Amino acid sequence: MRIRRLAPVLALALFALLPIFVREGFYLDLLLFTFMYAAMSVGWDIMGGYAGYVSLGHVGFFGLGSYVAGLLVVHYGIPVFLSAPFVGLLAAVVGAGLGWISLRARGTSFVIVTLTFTYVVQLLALNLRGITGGSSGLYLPLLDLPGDLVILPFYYSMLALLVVAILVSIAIRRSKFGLGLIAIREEEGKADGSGVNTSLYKILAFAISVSFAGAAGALHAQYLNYVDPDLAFELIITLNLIIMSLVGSRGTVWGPVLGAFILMPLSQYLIYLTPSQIAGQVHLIALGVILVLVVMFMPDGIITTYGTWRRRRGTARPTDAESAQLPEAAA
Amino acid sequence: MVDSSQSMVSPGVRRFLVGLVASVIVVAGCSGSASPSPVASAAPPASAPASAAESSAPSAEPSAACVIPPCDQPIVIGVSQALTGDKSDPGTAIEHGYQVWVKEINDAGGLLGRKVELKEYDNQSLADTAVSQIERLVTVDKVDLLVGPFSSALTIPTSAIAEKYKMAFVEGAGGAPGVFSRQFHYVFFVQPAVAAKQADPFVNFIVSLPADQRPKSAAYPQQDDPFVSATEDGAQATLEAAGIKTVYKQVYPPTQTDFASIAAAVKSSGADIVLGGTIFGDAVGQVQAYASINYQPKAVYFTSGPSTVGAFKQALGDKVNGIFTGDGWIEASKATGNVNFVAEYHAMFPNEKEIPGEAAEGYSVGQVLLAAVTGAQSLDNTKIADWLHANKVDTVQGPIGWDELGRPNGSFLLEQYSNGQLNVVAPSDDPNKAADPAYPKPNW
Amino acid sequence: MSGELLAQSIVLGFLTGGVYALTASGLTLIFGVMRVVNVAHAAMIVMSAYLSWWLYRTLGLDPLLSIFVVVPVFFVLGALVHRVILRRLAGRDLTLTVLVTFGFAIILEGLQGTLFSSNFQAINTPYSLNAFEVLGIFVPLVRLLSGAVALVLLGGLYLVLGRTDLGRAIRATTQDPRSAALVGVNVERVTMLAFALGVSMAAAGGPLLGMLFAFYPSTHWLWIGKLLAIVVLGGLGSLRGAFVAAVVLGLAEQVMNVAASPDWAPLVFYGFLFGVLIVRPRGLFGTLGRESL
Repeated sequence: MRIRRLAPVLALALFALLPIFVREGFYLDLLLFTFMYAAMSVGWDIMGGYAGYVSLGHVGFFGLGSYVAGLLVVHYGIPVFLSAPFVGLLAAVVGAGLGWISLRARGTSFVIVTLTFTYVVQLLALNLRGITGGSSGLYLPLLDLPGDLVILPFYYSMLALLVVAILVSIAIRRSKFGLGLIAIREEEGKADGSGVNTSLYKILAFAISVSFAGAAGALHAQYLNYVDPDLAFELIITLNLIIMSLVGSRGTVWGPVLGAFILMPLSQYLIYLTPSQIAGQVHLIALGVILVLVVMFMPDGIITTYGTWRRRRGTARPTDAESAQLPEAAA
Repeated sequence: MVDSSQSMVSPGVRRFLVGLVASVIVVAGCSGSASPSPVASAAPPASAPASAAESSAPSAEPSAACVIPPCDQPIVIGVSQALTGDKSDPGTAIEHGYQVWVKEINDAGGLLGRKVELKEYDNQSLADTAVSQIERLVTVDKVDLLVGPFSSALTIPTSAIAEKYKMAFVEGAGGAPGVFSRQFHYVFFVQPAVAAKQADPFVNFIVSLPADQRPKSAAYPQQDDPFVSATEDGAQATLEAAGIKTVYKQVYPPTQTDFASIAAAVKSSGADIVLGGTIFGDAVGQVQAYASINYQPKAVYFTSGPSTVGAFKQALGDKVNGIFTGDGWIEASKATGNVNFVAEYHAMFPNEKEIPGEAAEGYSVGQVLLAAVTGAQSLDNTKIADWLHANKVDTVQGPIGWDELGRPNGSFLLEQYSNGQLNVVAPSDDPNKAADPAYPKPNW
Repeated sequence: MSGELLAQSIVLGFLTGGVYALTASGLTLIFGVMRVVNVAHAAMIVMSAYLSWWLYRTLGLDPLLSIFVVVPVFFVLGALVHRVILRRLAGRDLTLTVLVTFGFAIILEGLQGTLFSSNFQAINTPYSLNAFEVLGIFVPLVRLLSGAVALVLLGGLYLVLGRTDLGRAIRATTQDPRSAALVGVNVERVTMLAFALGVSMAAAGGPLLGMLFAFYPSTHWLWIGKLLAIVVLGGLGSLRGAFVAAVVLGLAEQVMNVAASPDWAPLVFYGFLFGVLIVRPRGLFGTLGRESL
C-alpha cells in the first residue's frame, strides 16, 4: 500500500529534479511533450473513458487555447504562464456550450459536433485575418531567458499541468460525480432512471475534459513562439490522445499516462529509425493500424488487461461467473 | 458494474506501471549522461570545435588542407526537412538541392579539407516534430552546422531554436515577414529578396509606363497562403501609391479549383491588369476561366506557377504568351556555379525533367555555407553569422547579401512568356535578360 | 451581385449539390443500418479520386468511365472490411466502431501520401476547360456532366432500395434491426451489403468531386465536415433528407462564394450543422428518434 502511494510522488520528484542532470534540450523537449500529451489524454479520458463518450475534437480546443493565449500575448502582453489557467477555463466554457448542443441527447451527434468544431475554429483562425494573422499565423515574442534555460518554464508548466490533470482525474474517480459518469457509460438509460442528471453530468465532464487541451494549447503556442492554422489544429493530436488512452486503459486514472509514456518514445523511435523519405507516412499509417488493432484485440488497454490476467492467474480456475464479472472498460 | 470498474487498477498493476515509468526515466537519464560531462553539454556544442579553430592558423587556400580538427571526422550539417506530409514535394526538392551540393563538395575534396555529411530527419511537415529534431540535432547529435526546412511555417519555430543555441540558420525557403520580425541574428534567407518584394520588378515596369499607356485599375485574386499574401500586399501598396486603383481583391482557399465565379467578378470589375496570387493549379484555373469568358486584361502576373514551364505550357498551350511571373532562378541562368549545378542535378536525378526552383534554393544554401565557413575559416557559428552579415555570396540565384535581420537585399527576376518561351525581361542589368517586356499582352 | 451571377450560382450550386447528395447518401445509408458515423467516408472518396486520377494518367481512362472500375472495387473492399473487422464489433460499444473508422481514415490518408505524394491533384481532362453559355449563364461542362452522372447514380440507388428485396431488407434494418431479424432478415448480411453499397457511393463520388475540386491526402477532413452537415440537416439515416439537404447546401455554398467570399463558404455548412442540432436535432426528414442521435 505504502509503495503504491509513494510511487507517484517519487516519480514526480524525479521528473522535477531531472533537468539538473539532463541538460540536452532534446530529452527535455521529448519529456515536456510527453507531459503535455499525458495531461491532455487524462483529460480526454474523463469524457471518453469515464463517461464513454468519444470526442474527436480535442484538438479544436487545443487550437482555440493556442490562439487565445497567443492573442493575449501579442495584443495585451499577458504571458501565457499567467493566462494558461484562464484559457483552460475558457475552453471549459466553450466545451460546455458545445456539450449543451450535442450532449442533451445520447450518441452520435457528439461525435459529429466534436469533429466539426475543430474545422469551425480553424476556419475562424484562417479567415479573421485582421485579428489572427490568417494563414501567416501569429508570432509570439520570445521569452527573455538565456538559451539553455528557455525550455525549463515549459518543462515545469507541462509537468504541473499533468499533475493537476491526474489529481482532478483521481478526485472525479472517487466522487459521486465519477460514479455517475461510469453509470452513464455502463447504461445511460438506467443512470437516467436512477436519478443521475445525465445531461448535466456529461456536459460538466466534457467541460473539464477539454480544459486541459485548452491550457496545453496555450503553453504550446509560447513554446513554439508561433501559432498558425495548420499547426494548431493537427488532427494527429486528437489521434494521439485517443490511442494513448486506449493503449493504457480507458476509464482509469493512470492508463492515459502510461499510454503517453509508451507512445511518445515509440513515435520518436519510428521517426528516427525508419528511412526519412517514408518516415512520416509510416508513422501515420502505424498510428491508424495501432488504433484499429487495439480496438479489435485489446479494447481494455494494458492496465485493465493486465489486472484481469493477474486476477485470473491468482485464481486457480476462474469460473465462468467470475470472468463474466470482470470489468470491460470500453463497454 | 460500478464496483468492478473501481477496482480496475490493482496494486500489481500500479507497481507494473510505476516500473515502466521508472524505466523510461532510466533510459532518458542514461542517454543524457552519455555525453562526457552532463553539465558541460549544456553549452552550445559548436564551441568545442570552434575553440580548436581559433588556435590553428587560417589557411590561405579554401578547401585545401584540413585546418579544423578532428580532420578524420566529417563536418556534419543537420536538417529537419518536410520529406513527407503536406509539404513533402517542395521539401524533397530542397533536400535534393542540398544533396547535389554535398556530393559536389565532397568530390572536390570537402569543406576546409573535411568531408561533409548531411544528417537529415523527416519532420512530416509538422512544426512540433521539426522543433524536436532541431533540438536533437543540436544537443544530441551535436552537428556542426544547420540548414533550414521548407516553408516559413516550419522555419519560424525552428529558427528560434537555432537562435537560442547561437547556431547559424541558413535557409532557402522561409521568406515570410514573421521569419525576420523577431530580430534574429543567426537566420539567413537565401533567396534574392523577401516575399514582399517578389513582384517588385513587375510593379516597377508597370509604374514606368508612359501615363497614357499605364493601367488604371488592378485586380488581386489570391490564394490564402502566407508567401502569396506578402507578395500581393507588397505589390498592391506600390501600385496604389502610383495611382492604380484596386478594383478587386479576393482571397480563396487552397482547395479552390473552380474559378468561373471569380473570373466573372474580375471581369465585371473592369480591371486593366491582374496580379494573381497563385501557386500553380490556380494560375492555370484562372487563365482558363478568363479565356472562357473572353476577359482580356492588358497584363497578367502570377506569383508562382508559370515558372514550372513544362506543366504550365502543357495545361495552357498558346494561352501562356504574355503572362508574367517572378522568379529567383532559371535553369538557363548564367549565375555562378549554375552550369555545374544543373549538370550534377540531372546526373543525380535523371528521372526529373525539370529542376524545381526549390532545388536551386537548397543548392544556394550550400554555396552560402561554403563561402561563410571558408571565409570565417571556422566552424564557430557566431563567426559564420558575423561573416554573412558583412559579406555577399555568389549563388546560382545571383549575388546575395544580408541586412542585420538576415533579409536578402537582391532582386527577383521578371519573366514573361513569348512564343511559348519563358524569358527574363527585367531587371535590365541582369545578365540573363533576353527580351523586353511586352505590353499590352496578346489576347488569350 | 448581378442577377446573372446569382442565376449562375444557382445553376452551379444545384449541379454541385447533386454530387454532394450522391456521396452523402452513402454516409447516411451506412448510418442507417449501423448507427455509426463512418468517419472514413470522405477518406474513401479521396482514395477513389486518386485511383481515378491515376487511371486517367496511366491508362488514359476517362474519369467518368473509371466509375465503372472504382465502384465494384470499393464494393468488394467494403464488404471485406465489414466481414473482417466491423462485423466483430457488432453488438459491442458503438464508439469502438467509430474509433475504427477514425483509424481507417488515418490509414487511408497515410496510404495516399505514400502512393501519390502530398501534392494537390485535380483530374484535368481535355474537356475540363469547356463551358457553354445559356441565357448569359456560363456552365462548365464538367459541372453539368458530374451533376448528371450523380443524379443517374442516385436514381439507381433509389431503385435498388425501393424495388428490390435487398432494398426492403435494408430499409427494415434501418427502422429496427430487431424487428427486421424477427421477420427473417439476415441482419448481418444486410448490414454488410449496405455498408458495401454506401462505400460504393463514396467511390462513385470520388472521380466526380476530383474533377470539380483539387484534393490532397488530408482534404478528407474538410469533406467529411461538409458531408456531416448534409446528413445532419437531412436527418441522419434519411436518404430523401440527404438529397434535399445536399442541394440546399450546395446552393448556399455557391451563393456565399459570390455574395461574400469563397473562403467563408464552408461556414455555410457548419452554420447549418450547429443550427440544426440546436433547433431540430433530427433534421429535416429525420425518422430516427432523438434517442439515437
